[in-house]
Amino acid sequence: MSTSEVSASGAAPERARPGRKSKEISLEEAGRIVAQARVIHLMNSAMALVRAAIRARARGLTVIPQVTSSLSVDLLVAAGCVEKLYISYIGFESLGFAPAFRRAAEDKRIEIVEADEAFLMLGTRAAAGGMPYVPIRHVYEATDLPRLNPLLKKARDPFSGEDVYAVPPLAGDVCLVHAQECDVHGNAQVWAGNQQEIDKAMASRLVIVSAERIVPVDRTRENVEKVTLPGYLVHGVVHAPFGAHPLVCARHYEPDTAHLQAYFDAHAKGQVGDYLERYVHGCRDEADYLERVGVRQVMGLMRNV
Amino acid sequence: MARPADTGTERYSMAELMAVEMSRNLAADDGTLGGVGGGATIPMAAVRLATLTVAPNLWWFCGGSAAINPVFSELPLTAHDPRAFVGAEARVPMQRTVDMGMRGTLWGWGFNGGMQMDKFGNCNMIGIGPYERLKVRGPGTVGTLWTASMTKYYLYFWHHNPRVFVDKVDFISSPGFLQGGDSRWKSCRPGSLGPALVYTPMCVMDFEEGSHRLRLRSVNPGYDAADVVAATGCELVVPVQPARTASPSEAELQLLFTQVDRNRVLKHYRLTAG
Repeated sequence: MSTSEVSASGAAPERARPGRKSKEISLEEAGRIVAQARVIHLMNSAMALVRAAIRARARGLTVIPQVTSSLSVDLLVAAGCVEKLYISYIGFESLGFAPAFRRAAEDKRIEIVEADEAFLMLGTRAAAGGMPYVPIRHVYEATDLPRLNPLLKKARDPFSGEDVYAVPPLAGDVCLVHAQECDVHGNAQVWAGNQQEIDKAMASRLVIVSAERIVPVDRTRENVEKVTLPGYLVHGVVHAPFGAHPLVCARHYEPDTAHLQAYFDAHAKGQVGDYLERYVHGCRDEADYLERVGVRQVMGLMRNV
Repeated sequence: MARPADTGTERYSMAELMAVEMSRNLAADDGTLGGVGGGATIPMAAVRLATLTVAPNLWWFCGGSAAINPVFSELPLTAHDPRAFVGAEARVPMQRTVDMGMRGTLWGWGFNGGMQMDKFGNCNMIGIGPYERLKVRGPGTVGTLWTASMTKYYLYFWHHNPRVFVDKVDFISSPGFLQGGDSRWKSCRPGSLGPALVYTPMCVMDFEEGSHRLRLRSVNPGYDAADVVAATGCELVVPVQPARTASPSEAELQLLFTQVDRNRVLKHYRLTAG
C-alpha cells in the first residue's frame, strides 16, 4: 500500500468535494475591499494587505490595531488613509516612536481614541461575543483615561452595586490578518504571537487572510492543532509571500531593520512621500515591491528563524 | 544635554549593571509569576539571568511573544522578536493576559515604565503638554494600567533627567502612589502594593514607608548622590549616607555574556544620564 494514500492522522485524505469553492482572491481585490470599508481590525504583520489598501486609495478609515502595533498603523497614517485611530501602543519599542502617527496626532490630523490593552481586547471580545459592553474595575479609576476617552462610561454593577467602567463593543467591517499558512478555504495558521486574530476576526463582518504559503486542505488536516482561525470566519485568502515584510514573520524571516531604518530616515528628512512612491504607490504588485527591496536583502532575513 | 550613561569601567555597561541589579532583587519573587512588556530588553535580560541565579522557580511572561519561561541566549530586541519565544514552556493568548491583569492577583510582579514619572511613582505614556495641544504625543498606555491591579511592580527608565522625573506628570496612565500616603488604595485594587523599586541609568530608588515619597536607595557606579539630585526634577528623599549599587560579580557577568545576551546587545544599549 502506498503511504501517500494515508495522511498523518491515519485517515484517508478526502479526494475532492464537488462544488467546494476556493476563497482565494488577488491582493488588488483585497485592497479594494479595504478601500470600501470604514472600520478595520488590523493585525500588525498584515503589511502586504496594508500596502494593497494604500494602493487602492483607502481613505477615512477607522483603525482598531493590535494592542502593540508599529508599521502597519504608521504606514496607513503616513499615506493619509486614517481618520480615527484606537490606540493602546503605536511605536517601535527600543527603535523609537512611530513617526507618522506621532506627527499626525500632534498636528491633530487624526482623531485618537485613548485606549489601552483592556479597552481594545475586551471591546473586541464584546463585539466578537455579541455583548453590549464589558465592565471593568480597579483599572481606570486612578488614571486619566476616563477623562480622555469618552467611550469609557461609568456604570453600576447590578450585583455588587459598585461603580464600574463599561467598554463598548468594537466591531469592524474588515479584519486583516497575515498567516504563515492558509488553505483556500480560509483555515489559517498564525504561528507565534498571542492570538489576537481570533477575536478580531469574530468582531468583523469580513475577514481577509494573507499567507506566506497557500497549502492544500490536507495539510491543514495534518496540522489541525496549529490552525488558529477556522475558515468559516474567513472571506478572502491572498497568497502573499513576505507579506509581513519589513516586520517579522515567525519561522520565516526576521524583521528588516535596515529597511525600517530607511523608513525612519525618510521621515526624518521629510521624504516619506518618496518612500511611499518607491515602495507602495510605484509598485505594480508585491513582486515588484520585493524586487525594489532586493532579493539579497530578503534572502538575508531568512536566518535564525 | 543628555549624555550616554557611563559606569566608568570597561567590564560592564550601564545596561548590564542595571540588568544584574534587577536580577538580584527578583530573589524576593522566586516562585511567583511575573512579566515584562514592550521595550523591556533590560528587564528581559534581568529575569532570564535571575532564573539562572537567585530565582530558579520564577514563572515569567515575555511580553508580546506570549512566551512563558523562554530560555533564549540571544537577547530579544522587542517583545515580538521570535527570539523571545525560544524554549518557551507555554504560550498565553492575549485574552488570558488581560484576564490576569483584570484580576491582578496572579501577577506577582512586573516591569513598567513611562515617558514621565513623579515623586509618587505615577507614570505617563500618553504625552507631554495639554491633551488638546500635545507637544510630544506618546506611544500610548499599553498594559501600564495593570499597575493598578498587579501585586507589585518595578519601574525602569532609559533616561534620567529632569524632563523624565517631574514634579507632576502631565497624565497618569500608570498609577503609583497617586498623591502619596494611602491615597493609592482609594481607587486601586486592595492588595496591589504599588511600585517597589525604580531603576535608572544613575541609581536605584524606592519609596519611603508611610509617605510613599520617592527615595534614593543606591547610586550607580560613575555617579554620586549630588549628580542624581541634579538630574531629578522632583523631590527626592536622600539618605544621609546613600549606598552604592553593588557591582556585578564575575560569575553574574559570565552568565549574562554567555547564556543571556551572547550578542552583547546590552553592551551598546543607549541610556542617558543628566
